Amino acid sequence: MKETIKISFYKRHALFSFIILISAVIIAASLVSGCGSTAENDPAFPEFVYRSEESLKGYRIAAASQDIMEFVPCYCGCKQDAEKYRSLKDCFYDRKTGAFDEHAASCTTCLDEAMDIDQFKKDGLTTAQIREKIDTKYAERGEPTDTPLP
Amino acid sequence: MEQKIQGVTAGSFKQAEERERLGAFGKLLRWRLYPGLFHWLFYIALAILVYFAFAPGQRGEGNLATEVVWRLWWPLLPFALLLGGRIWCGVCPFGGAADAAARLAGKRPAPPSLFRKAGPWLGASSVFAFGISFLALGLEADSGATGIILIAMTLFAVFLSLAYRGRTFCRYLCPVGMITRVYSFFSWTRPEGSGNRGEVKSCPVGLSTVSLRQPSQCHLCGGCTDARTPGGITTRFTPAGTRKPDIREFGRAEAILSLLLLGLMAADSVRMTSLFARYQQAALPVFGYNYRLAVVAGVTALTGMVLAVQLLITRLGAWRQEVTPAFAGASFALLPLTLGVFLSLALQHLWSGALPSLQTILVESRLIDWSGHMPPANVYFTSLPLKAIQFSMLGAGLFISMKVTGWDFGEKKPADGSRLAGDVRLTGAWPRRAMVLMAAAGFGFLFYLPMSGAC
Repeated sequence: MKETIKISFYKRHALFSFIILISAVIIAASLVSGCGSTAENDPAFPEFVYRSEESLKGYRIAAASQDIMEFVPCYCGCKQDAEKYRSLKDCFYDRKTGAFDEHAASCTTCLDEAMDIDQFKKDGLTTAQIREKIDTKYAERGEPTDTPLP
Repeated sequence: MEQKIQGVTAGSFKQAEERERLGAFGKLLRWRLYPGLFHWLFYIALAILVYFAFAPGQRGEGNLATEVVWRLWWPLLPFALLLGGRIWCGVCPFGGAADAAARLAGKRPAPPSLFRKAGPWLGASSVFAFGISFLALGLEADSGATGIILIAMTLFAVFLSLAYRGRTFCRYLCPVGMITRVYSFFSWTRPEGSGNRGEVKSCPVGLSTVSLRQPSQCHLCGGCTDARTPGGITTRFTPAGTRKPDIREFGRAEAILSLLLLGLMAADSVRMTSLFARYQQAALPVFGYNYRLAVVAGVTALTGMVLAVQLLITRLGAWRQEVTPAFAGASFALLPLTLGVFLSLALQHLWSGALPSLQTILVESRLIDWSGHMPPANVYFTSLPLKAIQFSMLGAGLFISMKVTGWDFGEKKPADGSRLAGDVRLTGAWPRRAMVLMAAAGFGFLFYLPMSGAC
């Protein structure tokens, strides 16, 4: 009799744990399902773009705002390679080949700038105003690339 | 008179001898400012971090709250765990807040039976929920979510201590507490009972400080120790892999937790390599281009696979015998390996996250002059010194795990008490060794790959 009680106790706990685990997964999944980034019309991004959600967002913004990024400097230190990087756009696209560049996928500053550009664009700012805002905000981060004004 | 003097002298000598025996760690626990001073320092730190988490214009990466919590504290936690066991639980501001609330509330009833019976299961679930949220929500880049977690944990700790006796939140629900608990079996510092009750009548987590039969439950809060009188707990240096837990300390819930941690570590390791980007590229169309949902599905599948393999291999190993001890034994044997992986990943996070973040914070605070830097041209990089340290940690974990696989967890005893000769060759260490070696090979492959470096 004692053995029976013991077994049912363990079974109950196994069931309980299973319910708790499944609930945790469902809660986590439902929490995230509403706020994930979605875009079915992505260009054919290379593999490295998918390394983080921020990286994917950044490259999506770059694909949509190349015309603005051309006139926005990069503040992460790309100036050290002035031949290759002349604006923030060059951090996302290779100047010579036009293919996606790997640099921005691992660069917080470049991705932060892209997010800000997207926000300013949504706020209705012009390219010149966006440039001014970025220059003010990122001046402390480092030397900007030698980027022409819009 | 002479006797009194002799008594005092002998007593003082005994106390001095006792203090000498304690070592630096034991002295810390008996320091009169421990843990209050640390609690206050961490309360202040917590307040500053919560402020910065919600400060306007502060984005995730580069935000002081996310940088300190996820790129500094989190990678340093396993090192503190290895050296000092559950020392973090002793100085944790949530635990401190819980103690303060308990003092304020006075005598309270014991936690309800749900907590006591299902405690480890609740803990295992909270670890999994925490782990999956960390990986899917990208907490290290989300200052708002980080701030909410800090506030929620403080409130939970306080309210549960106001409602029930002791550190209810820390004991049953805190995911960090559960992680430190299972890994503390392999810490170099082990608390043990001194044979004397010490200063307090009841321990905040309900342990007997006289015998301390379940040292992994001890939060090292110092509540039972006092510099003036011997008693309470003491600590002893123990090489990792020298203490076998009993089934009350490491049961089925803890065994499942150990495997969940293995799955989460594997997911975190994969996340650092290009395999993750490849997976996301393939999985996004399947999951409606929802990045986070694809992560949740991947982590759940990986963890589920670990559980299934372990169950299968244990079932085969303990054929026609009681599975639970074999399952618990195999899971316990995996802990040193996953601790090695935890330490290796922590180093990777410190290397690629904490150092650049610290640099950014110093630059923006104008404490150092900086003309900019070049992030690596490639997302994934291989640093040979870092790899050497990571593989050393993985190797040390594997060595201890293999040692632990040789321990008898009682799985050789069939449930019905009989001895089945045909089953003997299927029992013993081999299922655990197979599981440990498979896991080590998997992690070895992941660590061999170039891992991501942040700007």
